[in-house]
Amino acid sequence: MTAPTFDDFVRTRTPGLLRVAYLLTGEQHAAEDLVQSALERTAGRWRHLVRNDSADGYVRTVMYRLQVDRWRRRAKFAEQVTAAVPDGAGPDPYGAADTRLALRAALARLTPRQRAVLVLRFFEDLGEARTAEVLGCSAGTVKSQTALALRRLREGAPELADLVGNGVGA
Amino acid sequence: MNGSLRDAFEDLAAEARPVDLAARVTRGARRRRQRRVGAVAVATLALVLGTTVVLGRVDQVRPASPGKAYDVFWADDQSLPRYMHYAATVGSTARAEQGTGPVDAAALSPDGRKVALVVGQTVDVLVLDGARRTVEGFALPAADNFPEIAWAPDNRRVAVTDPSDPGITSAGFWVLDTVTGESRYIRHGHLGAGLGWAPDGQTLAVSAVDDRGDPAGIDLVPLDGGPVRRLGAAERWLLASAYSWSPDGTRLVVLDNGGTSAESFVVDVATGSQIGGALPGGRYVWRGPDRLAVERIDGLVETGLDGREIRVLYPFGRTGGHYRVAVRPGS
Repeated sequence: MTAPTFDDFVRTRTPGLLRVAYLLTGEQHAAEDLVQSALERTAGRWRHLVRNDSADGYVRTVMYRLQVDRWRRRAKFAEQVTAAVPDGAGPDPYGAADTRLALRAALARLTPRQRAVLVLRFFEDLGEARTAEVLGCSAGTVKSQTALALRRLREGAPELADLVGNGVGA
Repeated sequence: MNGSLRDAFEDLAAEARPVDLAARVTRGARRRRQRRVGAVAVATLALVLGTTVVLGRVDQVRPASPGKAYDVFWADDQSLPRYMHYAATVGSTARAEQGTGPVDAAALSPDGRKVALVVGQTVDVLVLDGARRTVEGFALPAADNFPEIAWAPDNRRVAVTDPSDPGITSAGFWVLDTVTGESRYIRHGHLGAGLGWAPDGQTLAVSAVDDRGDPAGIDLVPLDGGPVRRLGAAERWLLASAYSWSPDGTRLVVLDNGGTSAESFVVDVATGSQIGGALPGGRYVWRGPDRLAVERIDGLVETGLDGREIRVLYPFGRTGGHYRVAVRPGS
C-alpha cells in the first residue's frame, strides 16, 4: 500500500483539526494559525511519523501543546487577534445560538490549559490518562484542571448550568 | 452531562470555516525554518563572539581536516543579515539525518572548547569538542518546544529546558553530564524560560510562571532538591532570559523580552532587587565586578553597570570564521 503524502494528510485532516482549534482559540484566524503551526511541525517529521503511523496523534498533541504554550506567544505579540467585536448579541429565538454564545464567552475566560482539558475530555471524549498524555502532564493535573474549569464555566455562565452540572468535577 | 456539553461543543466547533491550508503550510514551514535558523544564528553569534572575544579563547576551537565533519560556520562579510549555518555530515550514520535538521539552541562552553547544540524536534544534544575533535550525541526524551541549553561552569554539564507546557507540574529541565552521559530531570512546576548557572554550579536561575502560566519572576533552583527561592518583581521581569551571573555570584544580569521593548536589568541576588536603571536589551556577559559586555549591531561593546559604553571590544563587519571539527572514527 502506498504511504499517504503530506498533502493528502493536510487535506483530509484540516477540517477536523480546525474544529478543535476553533474550540481551543475561539477565533477563526487564530485557529487557522494554530493548525498551520502544528502541520508545519508535522511536516518536519513526516517520514518518521508515516513510518510509525503516528501522524494523527502527533499533530493533535503538538496543537494542544502549542495552544497551552500560549503565554510565550502572548509576550511576543501584544495584540490578540479577534474577528468579532466585543459587543454582545441580543436575545435569540433559538436556544442553541444563545448556548453557543454563552459557551464561547465562558471558554474565553478560561486559561489555555483549562480550555484544552475541557476540549480533550468533553469534545474529543478522551479519558483522564489519555488527556494527560496529550498535554504532557499528570492525570492528577487533568483532574484538578477539569474541576477548576467546570467550576469557572458554572460561575462565568450560570445559564450553562444544565450542561455543566452542579456537582460534577467540583 | 457530558452528552449535553459535547453537543454544545459540537455546535460551537461548527462555526469554524473550512480553509485549504496545504499551500500555506508548505510556505509557512519554509519561512519558519528560515526565521528559526536566523534567530539561532544571531543568538549564537553573540555567544560565540562574546565568549571568544571576551575570554580570548578563539583558538581553542581548532580547525580540522575537511571531510566527515560537523561544521559550525558563520559569516559576516558586511552583507546583512549576518547568519550562521550549521551543517552536519557525520559520516553515513543515522546521526547525519538528525544533524542536518534545524538547530533549536546552541551554547558555547565557558572555556570555549565545546559547542552544545539541540537539534531536531526530539531533543538530541550534540557536543562538539574542539580539543578532542569529537562529536558526541545524547538523546533526551524531552519535548520539542523552544528548548534552551546552557553550560555549567564546570564545562561538563549542560542544562536543557523542557518547556513543553510551562506552568504545570511536569515542566522542568534536564541536567546532562556530557562526560558520562548520565542525565537527571529536575522538576520545576513553574518553569518559564531562560537558564543561568550560578558560578558554584549548584543552582540554576530560571524564569518562573504562575499557575495560569503567566510570568511571575525569577526562581533560583538548587540542584540538590533544596527549597526554590523566588526573586521578584514580576511586573518588571515579564519574560526574563539570558541570565548571566557575576563571577562572585552576587548579581544577575537578565534580559527581559516581555515589555514593549527588550530591556536588561542587573539584579541583586541577596535582596532580589534591581540595581540601577534598565539597560538597553541584550545578552550581557560579565567582564569583571563592574563591567559587562554586550553585542550590539556594530560590534561587541564593553559597558558599565549603568549601560554606559566604555569601549568597543570588537567591531563587527570584518570577521568571519569557519570551524571544522573532525568526527571521531566510528561515531
